[in-house]
Amino acid sequence: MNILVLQRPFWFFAIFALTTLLLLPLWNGLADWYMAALTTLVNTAGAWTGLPSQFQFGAMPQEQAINPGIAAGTALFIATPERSVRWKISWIVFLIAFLYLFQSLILLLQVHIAYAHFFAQLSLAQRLHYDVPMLSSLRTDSLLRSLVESGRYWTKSLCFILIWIVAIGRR
Amino acid sequence: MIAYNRQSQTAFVLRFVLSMVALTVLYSYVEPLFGYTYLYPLSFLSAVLLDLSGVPNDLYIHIDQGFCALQMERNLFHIEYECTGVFTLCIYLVTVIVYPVVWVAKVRGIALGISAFFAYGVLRVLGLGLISHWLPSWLDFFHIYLMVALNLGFLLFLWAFWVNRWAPHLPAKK
Repeated sequence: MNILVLQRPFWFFAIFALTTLLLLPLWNGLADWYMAALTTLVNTAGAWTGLPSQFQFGAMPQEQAINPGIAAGTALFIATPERSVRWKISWIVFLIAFLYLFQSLILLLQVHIAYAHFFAQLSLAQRLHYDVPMLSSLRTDSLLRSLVESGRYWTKSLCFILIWIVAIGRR
Repeated sequence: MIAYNRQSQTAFVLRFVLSMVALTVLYSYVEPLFGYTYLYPLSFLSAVLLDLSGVPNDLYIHIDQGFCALQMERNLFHIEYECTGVFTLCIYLVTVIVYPVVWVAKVRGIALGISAFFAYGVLRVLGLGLISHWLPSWLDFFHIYLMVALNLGFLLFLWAFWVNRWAPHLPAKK
């Protein structure tokens, strides 16, 4: 592992902060497209897994969905020294694609967990009125639920760091 | 510059991922421990510094509910765990603990991380308090966007600083 590529951490952080500052307005402009694409995938996957409702565009504040995380992740690769432009562009594209799929999965799981809570409160007779979704048999105290719920604060940073560590080992 | 081989990188990534999964589960049980040891001191120090900077405020403690309330003239801040950077600190601590160096260096890295993230958290709250007082229209940009995004860079900055300056590497195994 080659974290030592960042031999001048202060310089790295300064470029990172400046790049993030410049990227935020850009991502702001792209947020609607990103959210629309995210919604389409989540709703398609939701219908496939039997969710009885559709994820509503705009139900979640956009800044929580995209801006700080993606801008920071992109800035991370731009600010990395000793790597070619091609390397940076390739990994930024990979990062965005990964985040798109990862966020879709997390959103889908969160909706299923919400339904699992809902169905757990119903009596058996009431449950018969519903066509229970495929994943809503998730136990409300399952490890997966615990990971999705408590990990929501750090999953993005964690993924970015992991992708960066993998990327830095490849030229 | 020391280049680690692919095998050590894979091992590091595996250790990192497994440790983070364990920490994610563990954190939900130990979060209350951070209340009086991290959230409250950070909020208290921020409130004192804001007061000294000419922004009078009152601090209300609701650790049992997971936050401190900072009442200023124009704004009320709910300082929660998320606002203190404690999650980023946890990621940093894992990167230090699983990094292949001697334990003395890891202890130094942990001490550096806790104090640096604490100072960074205080500066964040102080900065946001000053912005809310003097430039209130910019509060959302700094609070929701920039400060959140900078966490990632600060984590890597601190990690790289520690690796480069304070972490003598273990000799390669024969």
